[in-house]
Amino acid sequence: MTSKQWTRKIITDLGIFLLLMALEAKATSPLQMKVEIGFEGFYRIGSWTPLRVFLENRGPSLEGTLLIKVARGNPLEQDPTEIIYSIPVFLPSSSRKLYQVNVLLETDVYPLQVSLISGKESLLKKEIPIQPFYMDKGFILVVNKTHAGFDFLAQAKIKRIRQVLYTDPNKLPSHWIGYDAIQALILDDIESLELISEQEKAIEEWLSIGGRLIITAKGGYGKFKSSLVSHLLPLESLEKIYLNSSFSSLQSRYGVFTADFQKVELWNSQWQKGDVLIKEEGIPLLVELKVGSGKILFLALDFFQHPFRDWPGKSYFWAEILEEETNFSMFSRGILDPLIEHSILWPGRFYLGRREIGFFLLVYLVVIGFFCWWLKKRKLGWKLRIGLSLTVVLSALIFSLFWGMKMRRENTFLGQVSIFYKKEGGSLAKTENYFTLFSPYYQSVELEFDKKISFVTALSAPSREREFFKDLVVFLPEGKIRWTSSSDSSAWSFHLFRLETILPFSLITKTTRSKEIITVSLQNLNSFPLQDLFFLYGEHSSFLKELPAFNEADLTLNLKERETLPSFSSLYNEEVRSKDPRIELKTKVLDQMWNFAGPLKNIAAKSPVLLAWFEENPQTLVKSYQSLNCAFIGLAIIPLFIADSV
Amino acid sequence: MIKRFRFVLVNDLKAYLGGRTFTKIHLSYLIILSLPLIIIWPTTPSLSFQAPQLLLVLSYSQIVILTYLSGRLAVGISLDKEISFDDWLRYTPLTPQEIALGKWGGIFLIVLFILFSSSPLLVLAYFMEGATIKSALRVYFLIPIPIITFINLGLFFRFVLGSPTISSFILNMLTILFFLGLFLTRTTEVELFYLNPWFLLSSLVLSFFPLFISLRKLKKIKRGFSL
Repeated sequence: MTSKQWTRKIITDLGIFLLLMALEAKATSPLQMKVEIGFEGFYRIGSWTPLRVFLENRGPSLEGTLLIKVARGNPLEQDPTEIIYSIPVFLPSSSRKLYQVNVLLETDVYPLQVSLISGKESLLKKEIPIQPFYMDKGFILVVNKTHAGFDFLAQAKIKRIRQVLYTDPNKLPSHWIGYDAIQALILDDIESLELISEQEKAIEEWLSIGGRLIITAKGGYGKFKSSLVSHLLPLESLEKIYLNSSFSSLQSRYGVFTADFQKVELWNSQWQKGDVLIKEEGIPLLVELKVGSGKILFLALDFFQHPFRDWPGKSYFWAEILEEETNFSMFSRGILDPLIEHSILWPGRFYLGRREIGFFLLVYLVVIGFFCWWLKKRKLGWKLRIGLSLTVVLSALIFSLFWGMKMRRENTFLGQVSIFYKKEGGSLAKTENYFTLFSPYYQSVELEFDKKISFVTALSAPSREREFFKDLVVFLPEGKIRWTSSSDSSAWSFHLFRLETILPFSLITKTTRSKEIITVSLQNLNSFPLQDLFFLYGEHSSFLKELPAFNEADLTLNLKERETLPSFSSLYNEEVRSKDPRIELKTKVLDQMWNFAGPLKNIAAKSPVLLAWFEENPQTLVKSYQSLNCAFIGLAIIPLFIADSV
Repeated sequence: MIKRFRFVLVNDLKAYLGGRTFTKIHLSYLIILSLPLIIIWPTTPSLSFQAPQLLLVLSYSQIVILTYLSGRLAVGISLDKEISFDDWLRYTPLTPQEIALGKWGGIFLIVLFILFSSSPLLVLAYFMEGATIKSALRVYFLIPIPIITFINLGLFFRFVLGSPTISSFILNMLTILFFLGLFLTRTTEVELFYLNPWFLLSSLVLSFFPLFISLRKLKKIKRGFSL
């Protein structure tokens, strides 16, 4: 070979060698990250979504922080508000770990960022573009081995398009909010259901606030003996039997079978409580069990066996099971966002004005000047002079300190407007709490909340108060909210955030109808002091301002009397509203829910609704190490179920 | 023996407190600080107005006024009952170190008293601005550094040059240079109110050299008087 050829060969070989080295280096990168969002990659914009981050470390042990950054806000109007979920990470040498967090995806405009940092160095970073999965209905989540079989539910044949997703038991969310996008959870063919206690608790909490769990006949005894199912189903007995029947109860309701009759394997069950909705020859086929505000449906037969497999009525049967009742999902998340973001709910800043400060300084100067003159004139000893001068300065200093502390105390304000979504029957209510925090402290404020049941997100800054708004909100793993700002210029700060949680709600309601009069009986009033009550149904309404001081009370609505629904601003006259900012606020909240967003109007058209205000905070949701001036207003929304119709 | 410096210190304190000049300086200082406080103070209880720079303005005003004042007092402002250096050296058995320490202490304490008398104003500004107590204290631990620096330099010029006019002129020039240095070396740390502690500390260390040089000169003069 000539020297030219040798040179070419060396350069080519060197290039290949370097390429291989680079590929090798990439393949053996000591840190790997995999991010799974939602269920099977699906999520719903506007809902909380579980995010699973797998980290693998093949290098030396590592301590760092996993940061999950979500942005919200209208890009045309303002810079986004950044919300960061921060999780401390420890990865020993040669280890793999899974970290889970629930994030609220409110827009598809900004991508989700997941990064691993150690010290100030960013080790891994992934940007996940958010797909525009805007859906009206929640998902149907199926837990089974095959990850198939329920796709017929997603077909347009049964009127509504639904999205059916599949998952494994170990991937079920461990917080109730993880089921936010789920309309119904179907436990299908699983031999056993080994869930961790957090997952079981999450399902129970989700059920208590209106979730729907469907337990199918597929799967062995292990499924029914699992701690979750055995705890939820009050079964007296359960055995597998074979039934040779025409299943007339099903055919008469949903249509005739197309296949021949055969012996059908099904579960014969006896129940301590529960409503048998469909039965065949005394064997319950479909049992409904109310759990709090939610329900469990038990299916005794497997629809994948003959003659049900190709039965057209199957779709209608499932459509009925999945039919939504009066649902709080009609109230979109953050229904009060526009109200909170544009009319700040705070009483105003308390501090001395320029005049008062000028007067104080003048007095101080006069006293100092007079003192110097007087001390000189009196020819006192120099030690006494210094002592007296220091006394004057100290007195002024004490006054300033006292006033300053008072000002800080009075200006550290936490306003809370809460909406309690409560269905009849349950003892828990799903709540959406809007917070306004105003603080004169320069450093980031820190608030603490119960991370197990409460989930927080930030709201956008009101445009006219942007300079006060610290736009970076960090949620720490120990259940803390911290605000930081890229610009440290402003000391006085203003924060808006929304917290979703479930809270005990002891008020018991029972609704009866006698001809044209609907009566709602309220119990446990003393444990949950209500104030103004609205009773709405169709075009009728009644309004009760003062409740009797008893534990129980009745509220009636006469459907004969034609009353048009009032505009809420007319319920309190102008004079009362201007005097009491709380009443002004109540009116705005009701107007927002009634006029603009409209769900309240829709719900009231379908069933009676009870609205009740209360001004005593049933439970402190956020705590602070600094003393806070708190103001609270709560609104309970309770759709009523008419039990007896005479 | 060094304890005898307190004679000089007490005498100077008496002279400062008893004189009309001190009252004038003290009141002028408080008025000067009150002005930005009243001007910047928010007028209406509205969210759209706040005073984030209030404490910063007051702190810088203090540094400027007190640094200049320390230098001027050290160079020598004629006070009614102040005993001059020469007289201390000539008529007392005190050593130059004791006299210098007494003079130094007198000026430092009186400037500290003036600084302390402005504390109610600072507290008001602190609460209105909302700075952390840690950052405010960090700055207030740094403020005595330029004061000490300029007492050292003032005493040096007083001992070496003697003429108050020339000393004051040079000191004024140095004060301007110092503030220029403070501005040019400012940090990005908001918590330090942009003060550069290294600049302050190095100027402090450097200011002790001329003071020690001037003490050697005083020793020579004392020896001359002893002979």
